[in-house]
Amino acid sequence: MNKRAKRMLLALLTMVLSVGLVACGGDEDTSSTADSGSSSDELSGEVTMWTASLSGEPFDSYFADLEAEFEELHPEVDVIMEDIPQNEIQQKVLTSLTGDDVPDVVNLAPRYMVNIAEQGGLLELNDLVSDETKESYLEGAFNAGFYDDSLYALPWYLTTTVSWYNGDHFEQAGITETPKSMQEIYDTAKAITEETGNPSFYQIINEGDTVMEEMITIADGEPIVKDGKTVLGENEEIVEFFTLTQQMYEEGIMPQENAEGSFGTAQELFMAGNLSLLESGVTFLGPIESGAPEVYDVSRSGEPLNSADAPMNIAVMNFSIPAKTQNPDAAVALTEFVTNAENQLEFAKVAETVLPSTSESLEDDYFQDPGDSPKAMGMLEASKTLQRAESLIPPLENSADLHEAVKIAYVENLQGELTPEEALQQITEQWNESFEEIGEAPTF
Amino acid sequence: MSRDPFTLSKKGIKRNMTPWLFLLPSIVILMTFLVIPIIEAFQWSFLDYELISNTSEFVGFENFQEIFTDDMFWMAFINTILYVAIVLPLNIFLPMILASLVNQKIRAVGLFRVLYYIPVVTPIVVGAIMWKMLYSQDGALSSFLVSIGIIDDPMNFLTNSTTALIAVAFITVWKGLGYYMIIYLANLQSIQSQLYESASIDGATSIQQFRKITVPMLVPSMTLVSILTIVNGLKVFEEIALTTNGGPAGATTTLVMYIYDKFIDLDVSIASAAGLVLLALAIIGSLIQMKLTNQREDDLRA
Repeated sequence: MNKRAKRMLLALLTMVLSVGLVACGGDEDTSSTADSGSSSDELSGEVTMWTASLSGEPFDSYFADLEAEFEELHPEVDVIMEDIPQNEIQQKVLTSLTGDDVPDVVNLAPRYMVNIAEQGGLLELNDLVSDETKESYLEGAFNAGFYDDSLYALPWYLTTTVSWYNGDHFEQAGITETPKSMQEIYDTAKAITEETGNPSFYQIINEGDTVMEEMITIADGEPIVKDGKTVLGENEEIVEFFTLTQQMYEEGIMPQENAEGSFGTAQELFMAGNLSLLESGVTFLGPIESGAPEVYDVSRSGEPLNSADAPMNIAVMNFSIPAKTQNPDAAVALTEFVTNAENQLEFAKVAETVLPSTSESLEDDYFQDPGDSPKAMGMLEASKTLQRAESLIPPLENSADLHEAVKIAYVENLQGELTPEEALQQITEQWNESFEEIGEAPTF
Repeated sequence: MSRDPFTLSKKGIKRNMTPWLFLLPSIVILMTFLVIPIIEAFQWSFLDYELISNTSEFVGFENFQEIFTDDMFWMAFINTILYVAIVLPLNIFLPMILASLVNQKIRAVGLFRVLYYIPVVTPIVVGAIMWKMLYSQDGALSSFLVSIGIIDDPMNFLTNSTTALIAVAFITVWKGLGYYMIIYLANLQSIQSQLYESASIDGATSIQQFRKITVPMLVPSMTLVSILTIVNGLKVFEEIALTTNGGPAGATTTLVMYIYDKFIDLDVSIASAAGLVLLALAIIGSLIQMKLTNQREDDLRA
């Protein structure tokens, strides 16, 4: 081997070994650098904000304006807005948090927030946010940002449950009112199925969380967990919920696809005119407007399908600040700015299917008289439900286990593999075991 | 004076080093992306490791204890084994039959080869949507089975606990059919035509020729296909995530989905422990398969 070849070989070896060393060298403690941000009054530097599935118009223009306004208020700050698809955001946040390239503000749902906060991945906001800001939010929405008595997120937009129904199908079956109890749901759905020949009622399951929320609503103020002990089986209304949904599935009143139970499947079925009644947030109608205008035109909304004063769940989309942010002051300021009453009102108008989390925004005429389109009527119903809405499930370390236990037992009950009593017993045992494991004794 | 056998000349060292230098990039890549992650997973499985705060505590076998007492893990474990058991024979024999057919001197054979290969290059998202429609309650499969009286009422094969895993397994088989067919086809084209000619002269029928010549000559490909199927089957994810997402009621949750869920919930130590179980399963499965097929090859040579 000549000298030149030796040198080339040496260079190649060095390169290859460097790649290996870089790849193996990710273990260094890169813990919080939160204190490295600017502490002066005048904000400066770069601040990156990640939103979830809000790309395209009209959102692009809204965020561009928001960015420009904030930069005008703080000329030394450069705001970078990035939108990440909803199904990727959690993975992307996790990946970024284990490295150094973290966003400064990130749009997170509370159930993801808990996991990350629990491992010290989020900035504690108690002392960084003014009392005035804290008081500007609706109580239920603001509380969703707490985990273990510490504030890790500020609320942004909300959605609450309303009932959606196909007006044509209701008319065909001669039904003029939405049901208010499980038995009424059964009777209504059965009448429609007999008339249309199609399944009519859909219970959204998602990860099991929506069924869990439904059980809390049905319990109507009675806790389903007392001091870490599950008391589901003692509640007759919950037993009835499991009994009648099983019956509806067996009788073809609920579609077979309901065993999958996702929000997306409910939308597809409703859009195709193969579903007549369900409960969901106002966002439900979004794709139906463009995908099936004829179904959208006959879509009607009403109050949720239970007693008028039962507690309803509020779904909150939060903003959190990763603990590794290089610019905490600007990150907090941007979060407060995006979630202030004025900007939230504007966002709700742009999105048309969400509610703001600030009390002041809700006083605007837009929410008192939103118009008469199906979406606007849904918004009106949602803002009525908001009065009794709260975050029904407390942020818990074992939320995912609780949801999974419910999902499996509910579907097994639906398909007749378990009796309603067995399904509730299965949930009870798994929940109690999970509470013992994490050493918590919640009541909800 | 005799030369010390352990002392190599400069030239000898150079000669011995050359192949290693050629292999070095592959070794480094394998070390970086395979061996080191496995070592890390091994470490994490004995720790209570917090990924974000990068802190850990030694917990011994607690993570393994936790997964072995978790019903969901066992459900995922059994589903994974069942999945491989469904896919393996289909992946071995269906592409073999297809390859034999497209190896004939027939018209438009190129077109058939392309058609069979299309699923391989079709994005899995597209394939999943297509199969979801086919499997739905008012889909073609349900209507067909009702019309010939095999089932009484229309059914959705993906939301039925009994049929969901089989239904998803067929998507995997469909997806891999063309790929495995190419492996068999390459092997088939290396079989000498004289063997068939002699067999024909001896009066062997086509089926006899297939059983006695084609199948035995394809054993090396069968070994490769079965190992690939076992390894790919054990790590199946996309088809399931896109069609059933592990449901209904966990009926299609596999080990990789279990690991993924644990990782997303930031239980990385539990995910690592389950990952090692999966690795052990892949090694054991491949070794058994290799042993069986090697034995078969030896029998054929004897």
